[in-house]
Amino acid sequence: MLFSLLSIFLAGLLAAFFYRRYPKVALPVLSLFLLGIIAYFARFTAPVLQGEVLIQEVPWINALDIHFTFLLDGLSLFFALLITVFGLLILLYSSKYMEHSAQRGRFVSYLLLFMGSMLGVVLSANLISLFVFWELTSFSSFLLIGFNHRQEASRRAARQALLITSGGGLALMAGFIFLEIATGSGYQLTELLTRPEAVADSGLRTAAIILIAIGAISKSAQFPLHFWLPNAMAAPTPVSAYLHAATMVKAGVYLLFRLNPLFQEVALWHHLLGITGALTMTLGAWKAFQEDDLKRILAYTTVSALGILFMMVGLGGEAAVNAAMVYLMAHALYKGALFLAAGSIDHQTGSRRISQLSDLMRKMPATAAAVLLSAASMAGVLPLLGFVGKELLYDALYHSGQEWSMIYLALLFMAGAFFKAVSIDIVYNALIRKGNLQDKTIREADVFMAFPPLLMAAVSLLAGIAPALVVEPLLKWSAADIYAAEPSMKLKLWHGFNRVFLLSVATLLAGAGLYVLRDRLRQVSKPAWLDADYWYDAVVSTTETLAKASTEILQNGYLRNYIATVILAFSALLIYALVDGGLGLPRPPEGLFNGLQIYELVIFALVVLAVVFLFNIRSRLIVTATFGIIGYSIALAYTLFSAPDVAITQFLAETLTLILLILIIHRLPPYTLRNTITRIKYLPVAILFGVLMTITSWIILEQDKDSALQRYFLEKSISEGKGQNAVNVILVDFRALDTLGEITVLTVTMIGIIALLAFQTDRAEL
Amino acid sequence: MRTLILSTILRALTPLFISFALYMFFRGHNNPGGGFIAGLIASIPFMLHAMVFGYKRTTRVFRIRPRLLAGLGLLLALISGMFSVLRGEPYLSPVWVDEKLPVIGKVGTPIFFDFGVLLVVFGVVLQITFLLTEE
Repeated sequence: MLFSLLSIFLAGLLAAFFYRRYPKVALPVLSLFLLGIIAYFARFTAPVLQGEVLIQEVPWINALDIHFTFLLDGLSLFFALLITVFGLLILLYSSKYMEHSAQRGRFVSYLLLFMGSMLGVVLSANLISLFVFWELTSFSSFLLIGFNHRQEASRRAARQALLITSGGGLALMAGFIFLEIATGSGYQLTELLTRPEAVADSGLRTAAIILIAIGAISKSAQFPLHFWLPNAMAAPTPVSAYLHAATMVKAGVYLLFRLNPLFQEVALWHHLLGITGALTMTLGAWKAFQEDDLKRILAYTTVSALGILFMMVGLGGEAAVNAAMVYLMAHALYKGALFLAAGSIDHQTGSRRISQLSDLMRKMPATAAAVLLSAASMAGVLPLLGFVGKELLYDALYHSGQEWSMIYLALLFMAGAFFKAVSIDIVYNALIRKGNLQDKTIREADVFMAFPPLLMAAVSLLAGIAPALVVEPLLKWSAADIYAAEPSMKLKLWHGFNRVFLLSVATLLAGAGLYVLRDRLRQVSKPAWLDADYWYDAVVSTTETLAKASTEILQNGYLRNYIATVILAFSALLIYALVDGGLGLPRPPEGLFNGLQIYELVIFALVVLAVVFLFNIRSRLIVTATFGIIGYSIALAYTLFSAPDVAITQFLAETLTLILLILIIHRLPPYTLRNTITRIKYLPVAILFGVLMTITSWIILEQDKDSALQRYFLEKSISEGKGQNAVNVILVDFRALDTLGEITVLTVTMIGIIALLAFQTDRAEL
Repeated sequence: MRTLILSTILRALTPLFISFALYMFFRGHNNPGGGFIAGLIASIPFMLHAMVFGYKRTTRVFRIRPRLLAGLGLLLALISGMFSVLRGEPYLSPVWVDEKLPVIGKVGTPIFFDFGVLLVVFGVVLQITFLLTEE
């Protein structure tokens, strides 16, 4: 499984280079590759349908007990197949949709990056790797939303989505860490899920539930963090269909499903998710009803549908989970198809506003058929899979004994009515109505663009007619993994004339009623503060104002202030450490002045004289030279106390600093510290720091000179580092990673200096 | 800042500095020295050159962009750590060739790593110097 993931990432990387230049070759190769991946996962259907769970473990970071563990059970397999099959269809679709984009290689590359990450999310059995993949999906979503990066709207939407989803990701990570603290299971999902009592006993359960819920809410666009999803419609349409309808936004739902066995006994879990979901469902449906832009309608119905899934997890119980699973499948199919069809319509007609569309039934029959079937599925009309799902939802709510279930049912009824009104709106006004497109020549979309939505719609229909054959086997096991029991799903299209069916009919009538009244209902205006985007902007701009204010205080452009701040902060930490460690004020070590040599005194006197001299200098050049004296004296001291490496470095650093300073000295402004007050202001800081450093050196001197570390390094540097100079062996061998970090910082500093200097004088040459 | 003395002795000093830098580099494992120090020493003649002759003449002599050297050094240090990974050991563990080579002595990945350090230091210092001397 690891290799299938890695190969997808690799394919993404290669696609970035080859797809744009050789689309004719790259597309079939990529398609075949994805077919291979699908076949690879399909191969596991037989064992998984027997109830088997496959686990693969690849060690990653042994020291931290973090591994790539992959788990393939019904739930994972369902999602894996969903992701790969949709991925292939989307790839085929976008090969035409993005045909004229100069950046199509990059597009395909991002798409594959996303696919790999999303697969990683659903296959990971280790919470850390799950989290890493989770964040990767947010990141690839960011890249894809901002794909048309020349447009401010795209950039804003991309930033917003990243901010919301990765912010939620941080909460999620905290939740995972709490789970790990509670159970000590080494982040292993399989072990974790078997120990709900350990989580309950730890007292961290409430916090973990809230944090994980925040993660899922942000990812799956639930109220009050739902607003990024409609804005994400700035992405190219295939992306909307793939990420923001069928797969990525379902990651939150997947996570809830996955962790459900752990929390299914907890009231907070049920209420939090149930109420969030119910609110989102109602709000999304209402907002969808208000929109005219096809993509925005679909985005809001997606928000609403995700709300339904949250609500069903909140409702809890086997019937609810079975219903949620079927509805998830139905939603992926119809929403994917609708999005793709909307993309085709936009591509062919140049508009996706329903009020400007008409006659598509005659102009684009294949796309129109897909829209018709999918909209019917969205409305929950017999005999499509959406109907089966909706019936199950009603049934689960109706027969659930949960205290909130009747309220949920009433809200679902309302949301369902809005869905139906929206579906009628799309089908009638865009497909059937004779309008302004009547006389225009509009061609059917290319076969690559017409086929994927049609296929999805056809599956919706087939699965609706024979749900027991088409979708039940896999969904049964997926659902069973969510409530951790034997599968209990039995699907059929027709349940007979019962109350639930009557409810469905009533919803349909209510939807028709809403459609008739829609012009009047749409006129309801609302104040700006009810819009979630308003609050997002408020939060972002407040943060920016605060950041600006604090920057103006801290980054005031005076180097001396920066240094004073750094030194004071460091001194505060040092004082804290001294007080906290109970070290207090140590006395000078015994025998400090024993064996004092005359040349040591000379060096000391040199330094002191130079410092005193520094006070009265009015010229930068002489200051520099005086500092040189201090530096060389100290280097001399290093030589005397047998630290040749440090001494050489100090000598060289002094020399080079001197040269560099001389190079720029004529560019510096005149010496400004003439003011006595300004000069005296920094005196306490300097004295404080000097005293503290003296104390620290004393403490270090008092430590055992023959420390274990020292012995270790001296012994091992010859035997293992194969060198006699322990300092250098430490630098390039024992602590090579530190050195690597340091030279990286050095390089980054250089880049910074280049940027600063080149920016100043506009010299791009160097 | 044209000074006859400095410009004359620079001719003689440059190869001297570089050989001294290499000497410091190779003795670094057993005696005081090493990549960092060697990088600093190697950069001195070019700094002086830039000071004496000015940026334009120095870059005519010194054709490579120093920032490229810094990047290459970082890359070298990064790659030198990969050998141990191929052998299944943690990243950056040293890998040594068993036999001693004449003159150079033992060869192992730390030498490449240290050379990477040298290049980074050399490149960064020179890049900054060149930027500052450019009018």
